Amino acid sequence: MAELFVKVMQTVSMFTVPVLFLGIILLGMLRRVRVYESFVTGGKEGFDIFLRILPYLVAVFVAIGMFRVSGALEVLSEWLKPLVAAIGMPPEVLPVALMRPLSGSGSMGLASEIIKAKPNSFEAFVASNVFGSTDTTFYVIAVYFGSVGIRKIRHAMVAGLVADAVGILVAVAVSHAVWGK
Amino acid sequence: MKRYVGAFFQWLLTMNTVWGLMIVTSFFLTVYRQYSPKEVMTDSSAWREGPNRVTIRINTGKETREVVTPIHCHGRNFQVESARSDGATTGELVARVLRVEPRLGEKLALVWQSHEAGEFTVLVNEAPVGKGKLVNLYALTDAALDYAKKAFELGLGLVSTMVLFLGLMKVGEDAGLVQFVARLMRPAIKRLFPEVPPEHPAVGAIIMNFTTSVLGLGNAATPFGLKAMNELQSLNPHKTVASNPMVVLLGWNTAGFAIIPTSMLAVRKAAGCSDVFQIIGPCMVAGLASTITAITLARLLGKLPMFSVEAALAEESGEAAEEASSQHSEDPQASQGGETEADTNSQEKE
Repeated sequence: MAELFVKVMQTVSMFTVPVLFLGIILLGMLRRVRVYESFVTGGKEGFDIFLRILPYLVAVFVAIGMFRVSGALEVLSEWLKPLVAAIGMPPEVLPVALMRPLSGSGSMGLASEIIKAKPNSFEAFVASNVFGSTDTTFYVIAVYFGSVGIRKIRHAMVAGLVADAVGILVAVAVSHAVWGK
Repeated sequence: MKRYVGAFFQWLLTMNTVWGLMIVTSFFLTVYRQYSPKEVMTDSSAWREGPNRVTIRINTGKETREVVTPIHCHGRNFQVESARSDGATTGELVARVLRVEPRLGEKLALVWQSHEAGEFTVLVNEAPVGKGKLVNLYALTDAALDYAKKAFELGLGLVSTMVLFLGLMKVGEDAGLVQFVARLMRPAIKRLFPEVPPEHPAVGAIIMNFTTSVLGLGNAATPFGLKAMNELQSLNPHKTVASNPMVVLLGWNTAGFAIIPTSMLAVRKAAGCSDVFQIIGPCMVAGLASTITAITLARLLGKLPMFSVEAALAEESGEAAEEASSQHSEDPQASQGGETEADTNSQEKE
């Protein structure tokens, strides 16, 4: 069942971009839009966006890099261990959860380590779900707001981080409910 | 009391504070970990009466070096003798054993020091007793430079997809397709983004961003998301302060709900899990919960006085006044709503 669902969704994902391309260009030509010129005009913005987000990207990445190397996450994991036991999360998964809002590749690396070590364990299952439950909040905030020069982000960070926490808690709870059934 | 708590969170949850604290914490933690003595707990059974050999092996990423220290044991007394380094080209030892201390419950703490960075393994009489990571300020500097480079490479990788999808989006706009889809999705958009006029080009970009991110096409979702931000910025009366629709857009992008967790499935497949697809249901439920929370909070918290546009503006004008008093800044050129570009002038706007 799950496999069939994945097949269907993968097919949809596979077709989305080509169909989008074909559909837009075809419709454009039918409506006598100068498709080539239009495309180039629109695309020009791409490089401007890169220049605009670069300082934000560098700032966020450097802080995350230093934070990771310093071992702050390990220290934080150690502190939070009692809390983690209370919500039923295996302690190995905690670094994945803490890394998740900071860095996609970082948390992916931590999760893969757990999965590779014990592919069929509950820990690996929870780690996969925690990773899949949410996205990298800091990166998205930096890039999206950076691209238009917003400096006061108001409640975006709170909303993002609370949503991450909810996603992770639900991932753990659902893992418990589903595991072994 | 309540006001101070509010003010504290307002201070804590800005990019400035989080970013600054991350760097400050990294620095102090690294200095502490470099200069504080390291301890490895060992069972007393690992030691034997008479001569013992303690090996500390450090893999710096480039090379592995080890230091062998003979320790003489008389009952509960340990005498550390002079160490010798294995394959050392310089006279400097990479690690130094300081002492062995008895601890509670028949445990013995091996206290040692090293200023290297990398992974270490400690062996007593050739039996491994502990391993871990070492860090020093060189490693911290390397990480900073390394990640700056990574950021550039990631951004550069974005450029090509951005040009591609923004170009496509423009064709779609000129052909009227984007406006058509926007009209279709009007009811949903009206609820989530009441501030955005339904015919505005932002709506098309928002829908494309939502569709591609739900389908797990991250490469396509980011350009559409940035395009949407750009369009929302043209509606934003205060160019440096996030508007409500922006925070809602950020909401689902930070929550990142995808129907299929593509990358995780790949990892599980490669690792040889017996049921690779088992995670789809839980990921979907958790992702939905996270997304709904993000959007709800984005809509609700914006109504709180501490997160209002006015509060942000007050803070902004306070900063601007400070800047103006310290240096004579030029007259701010306010860019008007019709402009899609968030140029440097609009960033100076009070």
